[in-house]
Amino acid sequence: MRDYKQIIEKLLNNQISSKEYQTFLNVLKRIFKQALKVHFTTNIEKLFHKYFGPDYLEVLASELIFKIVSKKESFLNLSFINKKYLLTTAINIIYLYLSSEFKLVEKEVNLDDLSLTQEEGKEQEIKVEGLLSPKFVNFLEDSALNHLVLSLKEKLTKRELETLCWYLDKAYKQNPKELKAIADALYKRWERLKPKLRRILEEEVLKGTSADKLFYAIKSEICDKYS
Amino acid sequence: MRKKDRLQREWELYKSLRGKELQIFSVSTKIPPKLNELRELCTLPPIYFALTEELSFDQVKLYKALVLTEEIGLGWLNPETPIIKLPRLKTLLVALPFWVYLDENFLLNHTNKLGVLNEDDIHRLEGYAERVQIPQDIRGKYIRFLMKLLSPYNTESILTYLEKLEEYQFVPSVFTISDDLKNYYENSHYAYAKAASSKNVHKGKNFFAIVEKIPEIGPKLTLYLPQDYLGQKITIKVENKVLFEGPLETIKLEFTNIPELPDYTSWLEAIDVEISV
Repeated sequence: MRDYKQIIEKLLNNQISSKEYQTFLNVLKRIFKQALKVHFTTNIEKLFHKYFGPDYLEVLASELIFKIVSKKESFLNLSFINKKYLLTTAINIIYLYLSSEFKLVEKEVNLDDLSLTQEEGKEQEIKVEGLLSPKFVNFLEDSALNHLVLSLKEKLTKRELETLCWYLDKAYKQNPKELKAIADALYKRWERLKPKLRRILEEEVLKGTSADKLFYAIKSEICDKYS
Repeated sequence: MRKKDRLQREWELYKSLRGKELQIFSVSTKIPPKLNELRELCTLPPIYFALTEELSFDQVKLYKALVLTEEIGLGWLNPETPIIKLPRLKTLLVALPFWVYLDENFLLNHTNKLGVLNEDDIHRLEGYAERVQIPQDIRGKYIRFLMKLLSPYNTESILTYLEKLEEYQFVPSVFTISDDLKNYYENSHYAYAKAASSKNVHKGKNFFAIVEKIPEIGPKLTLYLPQDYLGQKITIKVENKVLFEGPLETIKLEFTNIPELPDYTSWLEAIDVEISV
Protein backbone atom coordinates (compact mmCIF):
# COMPACT_ATOMS: atom_id res chain seq x y z
CA MET A 1 0.00 0.00 0.00
CA ARG A 2 1.25 3.47 -0.87
CA ASP A 3 2.83 5.60 1.87
CA TYR A 4 1.62 9.23 1.92
CA LYS A 5 4.02 10.23 4.68
CA GLN A 6 6.44 12.14 2.43
CA ILE A 7 3.82 14.20 0.61
CA ILE A 8 1.98 15.01 3.86
CA GLU A 9 5.26 16.04 5.50
CA LYS A 10 5.92 18.39 2.57
CA LEU A 11 2.41 19.77 2.84
CA LEU A 12 2.69 20.35 6.58
CA ASN A 13 6.12 21.92 6.31
CA ASN A 14 4.99 24.18 3.47
CA GLN A 15 7.45 22.59 1.03
CA ILE A 16 4.96 21.20 -1.43
CA SER A 17 5.13 22.32 -5.07
CA SER A 18 1.94 23.34 -6.87
CA LYS A 19 2.21 20.26 -9.10
CA GLU A 20 2.57 17.96 -6.10
CA TYR A 21 -0.30 19.74 -4.38
CA GLN A 22 -2.54 19.20 -7.39
CA THR A 23 -1.60 15.52 -7.58
CA PHE A 24 -2.32 15.09 -3.87
CA LEU A 25 -5.64 16.92 -4.26
CA ASN A 26 -6.57 14.43 -7.00
CA VAL A 27 -5.73 11.53 -4.67
CA LEU A 28 -7.99 13.02 -2.01
CA LYS A 29 -10.79 13.50 -4.54
CA ARG A 30 -10.58 9.81 -5.42
CA ILE A 31 -10.67 8.96 -1.71
CA PHE A 32 -13.88 10.98 -1.28
CA LYS A 33 -15.38 9.30 -4.33
CA GLN A 34 -14.61 5.93 -2.73
CA ALA A 35 -15.91 7.05 0.69
CA LEU A 36 -19.21 8.23 -0.80
CA LYS A 37 -19.63 5.08 -2.86
CA VAL A 38 -18.64 2.48 -0.27
CA HIS A 39 -19.60 4.09 3.06
CA PHE A 40 -22.56 6.26 2.04
CA THR A 41 -25.14 6.17 -0.75
CA THR A 42 -25.63 7.54 -4.25
CA ASN A 43 -28.34 9.84 -2.88
CA ILE A 44 -25.93 11.39 -0.41
CA GLU A 45 -23.38 11.91 -3.18
CA LYS A 46 -26.13 13.64 -5.18
CA LEU A 47 -26.78 15.96 -2.22
CA PHE A 48 -23.13 17.04 -2.20
CA HIS A 49 -23.39 17.68 -5.93
CA LYS A 50 -26.57 19.68 -5.38
CA TYR A 51 -25.18 21.87 -2.60
CA PHE A 52 -21.56 22.29 -3.68
CA GLY A 53 -21.92 22.04 -7.47
CA PRO A 54 -19.93 19.84 -9.88
CA ASP A 55 -16.67 20.56 -8.03
CA TYR A 56 -17.96 18.99 -4.82
CA LEU A 57 -15.06 16.53 -4.67
CA GLU A 58 -12.58 19.40 -4.86
CA VAL A 59 -14.42 21.23 -2.05
CA LEU A 60 -14.28 18.10 0.11
CA ALA A 61 -10.61 17.45 -0.73
CA SER A 62 -9.73 20.99 0.42
CA GLU A 63 -11.56 20.32 3.68
CA LEU A 64 -9.52 17.17 4.17
CA ILE A 65 -6.29 19.11 3.65
CA PHE A 66 -7.47 21.55 6.29
CA LYS A 67 -8.15 18.69 8.67
CA ILE A 68 -4.73 17.11 8.04
CA VAL A 69 -3.17 20.45 9.01
CA SER A 70 -5.27 20.58 12.18
CA LYS A 71 -3.98 17.11 13.13
CA LYS A 72 -0.41 17.93 12.15
CA GLU A 73 1.20 16.38 15.23
CA SER A 74 -0.59 13.05 14.93
CA PHE A 75 0.08 12.73 11.19
CA LEU A 76 3.77 13.63 11.52
CA ASN A 77 4.19 11.08 14.30
CA LEU A 78 2.97 8.20 12.13
CA SER A 79 5.82 6.27 10.54
CA PHE A 80 3.63 5.14 7.63
CA ILE A 81 0.51 6.94 6.40
CA ASN A 82 -1.63 4.62 4.35
CA LYS A 83 -4.74 5.59 2.44
CA LYS A 84 -7.05 4.27 5.14
CA TYR A 85 -6.13 7.09 7.53
CA LEU A 86 -7.20 9.56 4.85
CA LEU A 87 -10.34 7.54 4.11
CA THR A 88 -11.50 7.48 7.73
CA THR A 89 -10.84 11.25 8.00
CA ALA A 90 -12.82 11.80 4.78
CA ILE A 91 -15.76 9.78 6.13
CA ASN A 92 -15.94 12.01 9.21
CA ILE A 93 -15.99 15.15 7.03
CA ILE A 94 -18.90 13.71 5.04
CA TYR A 95 -20.76 13.05 8.32
CA LEU A 96 -20.04 16.63 9.45
CA TYR A 97 -21.68 18.07 6.33
CA LEU A 98 -24.56 15.62 6.49
CA SER A 99 -25.23 16.63 10.11
CA SER A 100 -25.08 20.32 9.16
CA GLU A 101 -27.45 19.95 6.19
CA PHE A 102 -24.60 21.02 3.91
CA LYS A 103 -24.44 24.51 5.34
CA LEU A 104 -20.99 25.89 5.76
CA VAL A 105 -21.18 25.89 9.51
CA GLU A 106 -18.59 28.58 10.05
CA LYS A 107 -16.99 31.22 7.90
CA GLU A 108 -13.80 30.31 6.10
CA VAL A 109 -10.98 29.75 8.54
CA ASN A 110 -7.39 30.58 7.78
CA LEU A 111 -5.03 27.64 8.33
CA ASP A 112 -2.91 29.83 10.61
CA ASP A 113 -5.88 30.30 12.95
CA LEU A 114 -5.69 26.65 13.97
CA SER A 115 -2.95 27.39 16.47
CA LEU A 116 -5.48 29.50 18.38
CA THR A 117 -7.18 26.36 19.62
CA GLN A 118 -4.12 25.68 21.69
CA GLU A 119 -3.78 29.09 23.25
CA GLU A 120 -4.74 29.67 26.84
CA GLY A 121 -7.15 32.51 27.27
CA LYS A 122 -8.75 32.00 23.85
CA GLU A 123 -11.48 29.84 25.31
CA GLN A 124 -13.39 28.04 22.57
CA GLU A 125 -16.91 27.26 23.72
CA ILE A 126 -18.10 23.87 22.52
CA LYS A 127 -21.73 22.77 22.47
CA VAL A 128 -23.58 19.49 22.35
CA GLU A 129 -25.97 19.71 19.40
CA GLY A 130 -29.66 20.08 20.11
CA LEU A 131 -31.71 19.36 17.01
CA LEU A 132 -30.09 17.11 14.45
CA SER A 133 -30.68 17.14 10.73
CA PRO A 134 -33.34 14.54 9.77
CA LYS A 135 -31.17 13.44 6.81
CA PHE A 136 -28.36 12.67 9.22
CA VAL A 137 -30.54 10.78 11.75
CA ASN A 138 -32.28 8.84 8.95
CA PHE A 139 -28.99 7.81 7.44
CA LEU A 140 -27.64 6.55 10.77
CA GLU A 141 -30.90 4.75 11.54
CA ASP A 142 -30.85 3.14 8.11
CA SER A 143 -27.26 1.99 8.62
CA ALA A 144 -28.19 0.38 11.94
CA LEU A 145 -31.35 -1.17 10.47
CA ASN A 146 -29.48 -2.44 7.47
CA HIS A 147 -26.97 -4.11 9.78
CA LEU A 148 -29.80 -5.65 11.82
CA VAL A 149 -31.56 -7.02 8.75
CA LEU A 150 -28.34 -8.53 7.44
CA SER A 151 -27.76 -10.08 10.88
CA LEU A 152 -31.23 -11.61 10.73
CA LYS A 153 -30.41 -12.98 7.31
CA GLU A 154 -27.29 -14.61 8.70
CA LYS A 155 -28.73 -15.91 11.95
CA LEU A 156 -32.09 -17.26 10.74
CA THR A 157 -32.60 -20.27 8.50
CA LYS A 158 -34.34 -19.92 5.14
CA ARG A 159 -37.48 -21.49 6.63
CA GLU A 160 -37.40 -19.10 9.60
CA LEU A 161 -37.02 -16.13 7.28
CA GLU A 162 -40.03 -17.30 5.29
CA THR A 163 -42.03 -17.57 8.52
CA LEU A 164 -40.96 -14.07 9.54
CA CYS A 165 -42.04 -12.69 6.17
CA TRP A 166 -45.36 -14.53 6.42
CA TYR A 167 -45.98 -13.02 9.85
CA LEU A 168 -45.06 -9.49 8.76
CA ASP A 169 -47.29 -9.83 5.73
CA LYS A 170 -50.15 -11.04 7.92
CA ALA A 171 -49.60 -8.25 10.46
CA TYR A 172 -49.58 -5.51 7.85
CA LYS A 173 -52.24 -6.81 5.48
CA GLN A 174 -55.65 -7.36 6.97
CA ASN A 175 -56.68 -10.30 4.79
CA PRO A 176 -53.87 -12.66 3.93
CA LYS A 177 -54.95 -15.09 1.25
CA GLU A 178 -53.49 -18.40 2.42
CA LEU A 179 -55.62 -21.41 3.31
CA LYS A 180 -56.41 -22.00 6.99
CA ALA A 181 -54.38 -25.26 7.17
CA ILE A 182 -51.27 -23.49 5.87
CA ALA A 183 -51.88 -20.58 8.20
CA ASP A 184 -52.05 -22.90 11.22
CA ALA A 185 -48.75 -24.55 10.32
CA LEU A 186 -47.09 -21.18 9.76
CA TYR A 187 -48.48 -19.88 13.02
CA LYS A 188 -46.86 -22.78 14.89
CA ARG A 189 -43.58 -22.06 13.13
CA TRP A 190 -43.94 -18.39 14.09
CA GLU A 191 -44.46 -19.30 17.75
CA ARG A 192 -41.26 -21.38 17.67
CA LEU A 193 -39.35 -18.58 15.96
CA LYS A 194 -40.37 -15.84 18.42
CA PRO A 195 -37.86 -16.59 21.24
CA LYS A 196 -34.95 -16.72 18.76
CA LEU A 197 -36.06 -13.48 17.18
CA ARG A 198 -36.38 -11.83 20.57
CA ARG A 199 -32.81 -12.86 21.39
CA ILE A 200 -31.42 -11.37 18.16
CA LEU A 201 -33.43 -8.17 18.45
CA GLU A 202 -32.33 -7.68 22.04
CA GLU A 203 -28.72 -8.00 20.95
CA GLU A 204 -29.22 -5.31 18.36
CA VAL A 205 -30.52 -2.31 20.22
CA LEU A 206 -32.71 -0.14 18.02
CA LYS A 207 -34.06 2.42 20.41
CA GLY A 208 -36.03 5.18 18.72
CA THR A 209 -36.54 3.29 15.47
CA SER A 210 -40.15 2.76 14.53
CA ALA A 211 -41.64 -0.68 13.91
CA ASP A 212 -42.70 0.55 10.45
CA LYS A 213 -39.13 1.33 9.48
CA LEU A 214 -37.99 -2.09 10.67
CA PHE A 215 -40.82 -3.75 8.76
CA TYR A 216 -39.96 -2.01 5.49
CA ALA A 217 -36.27 -2.80 5.90
CA ILE A 218 -36.99 -6.51 6.46
CA LYS A 219 -39.52 -6.48 3.62
CA SER A 220 -37.22 -4.91 1.04
CA GLU A 221 -34.04 -6.70 2.07
CA ILE A 222 -35.46 -10.15 2.79
CA CYS A 223 -39.13 -10.77 1.98
CA ASP A 224 -39.26 -9.20 -1.48
CA LYS A 225 -36.43 -11.50 -2.49
CA TYR A 226 -38.42 -14.57 -1.39
CA SER A 227 -41.66 -13.67 -3.12
CA MET B 1 -17.63 -8.79 4.12
CA ARG B 2 -21.38 -8.57 3.87
CA LYS B 3 -22.71 -6.59 0.98
CA LYS B 4 -24.07 -3.12 1.77
CA ASP B 5 -23.42 -3.43 5.52
CA ARG B 6 -22.01 0.04 6.21
CA LEU B 7 -21.43 -0.58 9.92
CA GLN B 8 -19.45 -3.71 9.13
CA ARG B 9 -17.36 -1.74 6.63
CA GLU B 10 -16.71 1.05 9.13
CA TRP B 11 -15.70 -1.53 11.75
CA GLU B 12 -13.36 -3.33 9.32
CA LEU B 13 -11.74 -0.01 8.38
CA TYR B 14 -11.32 0.99 12.03
CA LYS B 15 -9.83 -2.37 13.03
CA SER B 16 -7.36 -2.24 10.16
CA LEU B 17 -6.07 1.13 11.41
CA ARG B 18 -5.76 0.19 15.07
CA GLY B 19 -3.29 -2.29 16.41
CA LYS B 20 -3.90 -4.21 19.60
CA GLU B 21 -2.40 -1.35 21.58
CA LEU B 22 -2.93 2.38 21.27
CA GLN B 23 -0.09 4.27 19.67
CA ILE B 24 -0.16 7.61 21.48
CA PHE B 25 2.10 10.59 20.93
CA SER B 26 3.21 13.52 23.03
CA VAL B 27 1.79 16.96 22.32
CA SER B 28 4.05 19.95 21.70
CA THR B 29 1.91 22.57 23.44
CA LYS B 30 1.13 21.35 26.91
CA ILE B 31 -1.88 22.93 28.57
CA PRO B 32 -2.85 21.69 32.06
CA PRO B 33 -6.26 20.00 32.06
CA LYS B 34 -9.28 21.59 33.69
CA LEU B 35 -12.77 20.43 34.45
CA ASN B 36 -15.37 20.63 31.60
CA GLU B 37 -12.74 20.70 28.86
CA LEU B 38 -12.92 18.76 25.63
CA ARG B 39 -9.50 17.31 24.78
CA GLU B 40 -8.13 15.28 21.87
CA LEU B 41 -5.80 12.36 22.47
CA CYS B 42 -2.81 12.58 20.13
CA THR B 43 -3.34 9.34 18.20
CA LEU B 44 -4.83 8.33 14.84
CA PRO B 45 -7.73 7.77 14.48
CA PRO B 46 -8.13 10.28 17.32
CA ILE B 47 -10.05 9.75 20.57
CA TYR B 48 -11.63 12.60 22.52
CA PHE B 49 -12.35 13.16 26.21
CA ALA B 50 -14.80 15.44 28.03
CA LEU B 51 -13.53 15.99 31.57
CA THR B 52 -16.60 15.74 33.79
CA GLU B 53 -15.21 15.23 37.28
CA GLU B 54 -12.03 16.15 39.09
CA LEU B 55 -10.82 14.08 42.01
CA SER B 56 -8.11 15.85 43.87
CA PHE B 57 -6.05 15.25 46.91
CA ASP B 58 -3.76 18.17 47.70
CA GLN B 59 -1.62 18.46 44.54
CA VAL B 60 -2.74 15.21 42.95
CA LYS B 61 -5.53 15.19 40.35
CA LEU B 62 -7.43 12.48 38.54
CA TYR B 63 -10.14 13.23 35.95
CA LYS B 64 -13.25 11.31 35.00
CA ALA B 65 -13.10 11.46 31.21
CA LEU B 66 -16.11 10.66 29.02
CA VAL B 67 -15.05 9.22 25.70
CA LEU B 68 -16.06 10.61 22.28
CA THR B 69 -15.17 9.42 18.82
CA GLU B 70 -15.07 10.35 15.13
CA GLU B 71 -16.46 6.92 14.14
CA ILE B 72 -20.01 8.20 13.80
CA GLY B 73 -21.78 5.10 12.46
CA LEU B 74 -20.25 2.82 15.09
CA GLY B 75 -20.62 5.23 18.00
CA TRP B 76 -24.17 6.47 17.30
CA LEU B 77 -26.65 4.32 19.23
CA ASN B 78 -29.92 6.25 19.08
CA PRO B 79 -31.35 9.75 18.46
CA GLU B 80 -30.37 10.71 22.03
CA THR B 81 -26.66 10.09 21.40
CA PRO B 82 -24.90 13.43 22.02
CA ILE B 83 -23.25 14.91 18.95
CA ILE B 84 -20.60 17.65 18.95
CA LYS B 85 -19.68 19.66 15.86
CA LEU B 86 -16.23 21.18 15.65
CA PRO B 87 -16.56 23.22 12.44
CA ARG B 88 -13.18 24.90 12.82
CA LEU B 89 -11.52 21.48 12.88
CA LYS B 90 -13.88 20.00 10.24
CA THR B 91 -14.80 17.31 12.71
CA LEU B 92 -17.94 15.66 14.01
CA LEU B 93 -17.97 13.68 17.27
CA VAL B 94 -20.38 11.27 18.94
CA ALA B 95 -20.33 10.49 22.65
CA LEU B 96 -19.78 6.91 23.74
CA PRO B 97 -21.53 5.42 26.78
CA PHE B 98 -18.45 4.92 28.96
CA TRP B 99 -15.72 6.80 30.75
CA VAL B 100 -12.19 6.31 32.01
CA TYR B 101 -10.13 7.91 34.76
CA LEU B 102 -7.02 9.69 33.54
CA ASP B 103 -4.42 11.49 35.60
CA GLU B 104 -3.44 15.07 34.94
CA ASN B 105 0.03 14.21 33.65
CA PHE B 106 -1.35 11.86 31.04
CA LEU B 107 -3.80 14.54 29.90
CA LEU B 108 -1.11 17.22 29.96
CA ASN B 109 1.37 15.22 27.90
CA HIS B 110 -0.84 13.42 25.41
CA THR B 111 -3.95 15.52 24.81
CA ASN B 112 -4.67 18.85 23.15
CA LYS B 113 -7.24 21.17 24.63
CA LEU B 114 -9.99 21.93 22.08
CA GLY B 115 -12.36 24.02 24.16
CA VAL B 116 -14.78 24.09 27.06
CA LEU B 117 -18.28 22.64 27.45
CA ASN B 118 -20.91 24.27 29.61
CA GLU B 119 -22.29 22.59 32.76
CA ASP B 120 -25.59 21.59 31.09
CA ASP B 121 -23.81 19.81 28.27
CA ILE B 122 -21.45 18.10 30.71
CA HIS B 123 -24.49 16.76 32.59
CA ARG B 124 -26.06 15.68 29.33
CA LEU B 125 -22.96 13.70 28.38
CA GLU B 126 -22.72 12.15 31.86
CA GLY B 127 -26.42 11.28 31.90
CA TYR B 128 -26.13 9.58 28.53
CA ALA B 129 -23.05 7.56 29.53
CA GLU B 130 -24.70 6.40 32.76
CA ARG B 131 -28.10 5.62 31.24
CA VAL B 132 -27.35 3.94 27.95
CA GLN B 133 -26.48 0.27 27.75
CA ILE B 134 -23.73 -0.93 25.48
CA PRO B 135 -25.45 -3.05 22.81
CA GLN B 136 -24.41 -6.60 21.97
CA ASP B 137 -24.18 -5.87 18.25
CA ILE B 138 -21.27 -4.64 16.12
CA ARG B 139 -21.45 -1.18 17.74
CA GLY B 140 -21.04 -2.81 21.15
CA LYS B 141 -18.07 -4.75 19.76
CA TYR B 142 -16.48 -1.46 18.68
CA ILE B 143 -17.18 0.26 22.03
CA ARG B 144 -15.75 -2.67 24.02
CA PHE B 145 -12.70 -2.74 21.74
CA LEU B 146 -12.08 0.94 22.52
CA MET B 147 -12.63 0.32 26.24
CA LYS B 148 -9.99 -2.38 26.12
CA LEU B 149 -7.55 -0.12 24.25
CA LEU B 150 -7.98 2.59 26.88
CA SER B 151 -8.05 0.29 29.91
CA PRO B 152 -4.24 0.28 30.49
CA TYR B 153 -4.28 4.09 30.78
CA ASN B 154 -7.37 3.96 32.99
CA THR B 155 -5.82 1.41 35.36
CA GLU B 156 -2.41 3.05 35.20
CA SER B 157 -3.94 6.42 36.08
CA ILE B 158 -5.78 4.98 39.06
CA LEU B 159 -2.61 3.21 40.20
CA THR B 160 -0.55 6.39 39.78
CA TYR B 161 -3.13 8.24 41.81
CA LEU B 162 -2.97 5.59 44.51
CA GLU B 163 0.83 5.67 44.48
CA LYS B 164 0.75 9.42 44.90
CA LEU B 165 -1.65 9.02 47.79
CA GLU B 166 0.83 6.52 49.27
CA GLU B 167 3.44 9.25 49.36
CA TYR B 168 1.42 10.90 52.08
CA GLN B 169 2.22 7.87 54.23
CA PHE B 170 -1.10 7.20 55.85
CA VAL B 171 -1.00 4.69 58.64
CA PRO B 172 -3.57 2.16 57.53
CA SER B 173 -6.09 0.42 59.74
CA VAL B 174 -5.66 -3.31 59.09
CA PHE B 175 -8.48 -5.80 59.42
CA THR B 176 -8.58 -9.53 58.93
CA ILE B 177 -11.69 -10.91 57.30
CA SER B 178 -13.23 -13.89 59.09
CA ASP B 179 -12.71 -17.34 57.57
CA ASP B 180 -16.48 -17.78 57.30
CA LEU B 181 -16.81 -14.69 55.14
CA LYS B 182 -13.76 -15.63 53.07
CA ASN B 183 -15.25 -19.09 52.43
CA TYR B 184 -18.62 -17.58 51.58
CA TYR B 185 -17.16 -15.49 48.75
CA GLU B 186 -14.92 -18.29 47.53
CA ASN B 187 -17.95 -20.54 47.11
CA SER B 188 -20.24 -17.87 45.68
CA HIS B 189 -20.78 -16.76 42.07
CA TYR B 190 -17.69 -14.56 42.41
CA ALA B 191 -15.56 -17.70 42.07
CA TYR B 192 -16.81 -18.05 38.51
CA ALA B 193 -17.02 -14.38 37.57
CA LYS B 194 -14.79 -13.40 34.71
CA ALA B 195 -14.95 -9.93 33.28
CA ALA B 196 -14.04 -9.01 29.70
CA SER B 197 -11.05 -7.07 30.94
CA SER B 198 -9.70 -8.27 34.22
CA LYS B 199 -8.61 -5.63 36.69
CA ASN B 200 -7.65 -5.42 40.31
CA VAL B 201 -8.34 -1.73 40.84
CA HIS B 202 -11.73 -0.10 41.02
CA LYS B 203 -13.01 3.43 41.52
CA GLY B 204 -16.31 3.21 43.32
CA LYS B 205 -18.78 6.00 43.98
CA ASN B 206 -16.86 7.16 47.06
CA PHE B 207 -13.75 5.00 47.29
CA PHE B 208 -10.76 3.56 45.50
CA ALA B 209 -10.09 -0.15 45.92
CA ILE B 210 -7.09 -2.22 44.98
CA VAL B 211 -6.33 -5.92 45.39
CA GLU B 212 -2.69 -6.91 45.56
CA LYS B 213 -1.49 -10.50 45.59
CA ILE B 214 1.22 -10.72 48.24
CA PRO B 215 2.98 -14.12 48.33
CA GLU B 216 3.48 -14.25 52.10
CA ILE B 217 -0.01 -13.24 53.20
CA GLY B 218 -2.20 -13.91 50.16
CA PRO B 219 -4.39 -11.29 48.46
CA LYS B 220 -4.88 -7.98 50.26
CA LEU B 221 -7.59 -5.38 49.71
CA THR B 222 -6.79 -1.71 50.26
CA LEU B 223 -9.54 0.90 50.34
CA TYR B 224 -9.06 4.65 50.19
CA LEU B 225 -11.99 6.65 51.48
CA PRO B 226 -12.81 10.38 51.32
CA GLN B 227 -11.17 12.56 53.96
CA ASP B 228 -14.48 14.03 55.08
CA TYR B 229 -15.58 10.56 56.26
CA LEU B 230 -12.93 10.65 59.02
CA GLY B 231 -14.51 10.33 62.46
CA GLN B 232 -17.86 9.25 61.01
CA LYS B 233 -19.36 5.84 61.50
CA ILE B 234 -19.22 3.96 58.22
CA THR B 235 -20.27 0.56 56.91
CA ILE B 236 -18.39 -1.31 54.20
CA LYS B 237 -20.18 -4.23 52.59
CA VAL B 238 -19.61 -6.59 49.72
CA GLU B 239 -22.97 -7.79 48.50
CA ASN B 240 -24.73 -7.18 51.84
CA LYS B 241 -22.05 -8.94 53.93
CA VAL B 242 -20.38 -6.49 56.29
CA LEU B 243 -16.59 -6.22 56.03
CA PHE B 244 -16.25 -3.28 58.40
CA GLU B 245 -18.50 -1.17 60.58
CA GLY B 246 -17.37 1.56 62.91
CA PRO B 247 -15.86 5.04 63.14
CA LEU B 248 -13.28 5.79 60.46
CA GLU B 249 -9.88 6.61 61.94
CA THR B 250 -7.80 6.74 58.79
CA ILE B 251 -8.71 7.07 55.13
CA LYS B 252 -6.71 3.95 54.24
CA LEU B 253 -8.09 0.57 55.24
CA GLU B 254 -6.46 -2.76 54.56
CA PHE B 255 -8.16 -6.13 54.65
CA THR B 256 -6.29 -9.41 54.72
CA ASN B 257 -7.56 -13.00 54.50
CA ILE B 258 -9.74 -11.90 51.58
CA PRO B 259 -11.13 -14.61 49.26
CA GLU B 260 -8.90 -16.14 46.62
CA LEU B 261 -10.74 -15.39 43.37
CA PRO B 262 -9.64 -15.90 39.77
CA ASP B 263 -10.86 -12.39 38.93
CA TYR B 264 -11.69 -9.57 41.35
CA THR B 265 -13.57 -7.28 38.95
CA SER B 266 -17.14 -8.09 40.01
CA TRP B 267 -16.19 -8.55 43.69
CA LEU B 268 -14.63 -5.06 43.75
CA GLU B 269 -17.63 -3.64 41.92
CA ALA B 270 -19.92 -5.09 44.63
CA ILE B 271 -18.20 -3.06 47.39
CA ASP B 272 -20.47 -0.49 48.95
CA VAL B 273 -19.30 2.19 51.40
CA GLU B 274 -21.94 4.11 53.35
CA ILE B 275 -22.05 6.49 56.26
CA SER B 276 -24.10 4.79 59.00
CA VAL B 277 -26.95 6.82 60.40
